[in-house]
Amino acid sequence: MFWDFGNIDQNSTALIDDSTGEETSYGRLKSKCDKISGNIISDSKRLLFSFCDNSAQSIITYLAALRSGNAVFLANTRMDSDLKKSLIEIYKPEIIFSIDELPDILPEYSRHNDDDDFAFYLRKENHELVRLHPDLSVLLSTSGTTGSPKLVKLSYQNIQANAESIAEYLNIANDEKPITSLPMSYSFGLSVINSHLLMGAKILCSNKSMVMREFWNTFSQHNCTSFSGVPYNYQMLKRLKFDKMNLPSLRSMTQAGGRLSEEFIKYFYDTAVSKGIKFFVMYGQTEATARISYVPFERLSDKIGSIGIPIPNGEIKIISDKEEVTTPTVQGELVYYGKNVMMGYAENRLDLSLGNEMKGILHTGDLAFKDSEGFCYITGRMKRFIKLFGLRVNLDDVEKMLENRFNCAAACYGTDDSLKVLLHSNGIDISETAKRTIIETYKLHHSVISVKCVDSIPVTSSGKKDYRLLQEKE
Amino acid sequence: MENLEKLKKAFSESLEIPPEDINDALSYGNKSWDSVAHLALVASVETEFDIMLASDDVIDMSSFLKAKEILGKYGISF
Repeated sequence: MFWDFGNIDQNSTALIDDSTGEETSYGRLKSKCDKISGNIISDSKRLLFSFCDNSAQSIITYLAALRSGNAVFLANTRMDSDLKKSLIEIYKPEIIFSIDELPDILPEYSRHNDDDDFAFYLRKENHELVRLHPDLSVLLSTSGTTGSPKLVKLSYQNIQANAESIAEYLNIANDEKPITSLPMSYSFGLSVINSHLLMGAKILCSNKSMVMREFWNTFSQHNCTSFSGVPYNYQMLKRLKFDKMNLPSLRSMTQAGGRLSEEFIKYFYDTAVSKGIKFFVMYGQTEATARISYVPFERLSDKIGSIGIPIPNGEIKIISDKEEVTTPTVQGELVYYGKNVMMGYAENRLDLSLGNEMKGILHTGDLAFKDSEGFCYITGRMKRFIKLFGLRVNLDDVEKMLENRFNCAAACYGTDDSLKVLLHSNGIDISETAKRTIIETYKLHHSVISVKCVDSIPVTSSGKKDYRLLQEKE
Repeated sequence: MENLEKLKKAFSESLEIPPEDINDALSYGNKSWDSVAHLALVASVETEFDIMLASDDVIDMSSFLKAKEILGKYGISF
């Protein structure tokens, strides 16, 4: 398991924290984790919450949770404090770690300091809590810093299997040095950490943003070899004229978290070729720990628009009417089979006691077809959600929320870079208030939301909202 | 419109901060100024002043004060 640091040279560097400059070797990492474990281990498995960023300390806390056999929910420290509170109420973690001081809002918890002066919180009353399933290792949110208390439950086998597959197809060796360009509380960001620790590589732990010069200075100073991004990171990189940026240590870059348009894929492919580096277009879901498929770089030029082939040890079938489609180019639901398929979802503490409900099969809800060489292409979605900035926004949820809040009919539709809303508000223009509500509830940037008040919302002959018509009108 | 007001307008609209809360100390990471808002801010500054910012200036525009300095290079004075 990658958190054992088994066959790795204990003197080699594991983590470099870019804000403190501190380097932690694999041997030192082990002893730091075990010191934390000493504070959190008990006779039964416990639930930890870690409100984390991308500091070395946050990664150490995560690894300490894995090594001590406790389960850990990784949540972004930037999450809204009311949401933090409500998640704590729902899941009742025995232990909370937080990289930022938690405001004094937790009467059920007492604050403690470890020897390194790092604060953690212990729940005072534990005896009534539901026991956790022994396989449970990590909990992740699918909606980032926003709303839903629904979490993805991952097992030890899930995170290990996905790390192994990723390390294999990206050909990760111990001389790699990725920079943490995505939050570790996001499945894609976490997969970068896991797969590199597995291979004994070095990780540059940074909270800096790709839109700021400091990020690129850090990248160059430390001779980092790779970064990862969701589509909007790549849109920004093109705006920054990535082809003209001088990054001699860069070897590869990976993209997932939503569809990157073909124009952008071509630009980054050409740039990668001219710089002599690799660019990986990939696809996945948090429900599959992170990764499901990838496009081998040497095939990218003739497979632009494809999400590629399944990761090593995974399998993809296209299913239509409960039968596998074996004819190329015929569409069906993309169903993934592999050891990285989650145990199931959790919506409360009780769900954490359940074992594997998925049995290694994930119905992704994406419609796709395979070409004659087995490369998959996504054509649409069965469920109504869009991905904004790599995070999933369920259109039906937004719709329901608006209808309840404003007591009027709403229709939400859109693409992976914009959310469109129509409100049938009986002649009163509430578009600004509604927009504000969406921004606050889902923590979205206003530029991707458009709200219009209309006299009627188009319906189909069967009386359902006609989303296809709305989409076509765009 | 005065250049200062124009710049405040660009900041105010893209970061969704009232113009009266915008001062030299406002920097990246404050309030709603994250990586997504940064792209919107750059576009908004470019539209407001009808210029095209160089890549170096995009990643250097880390505060309101810095934005004024950068715009100086484009002949816009404050």
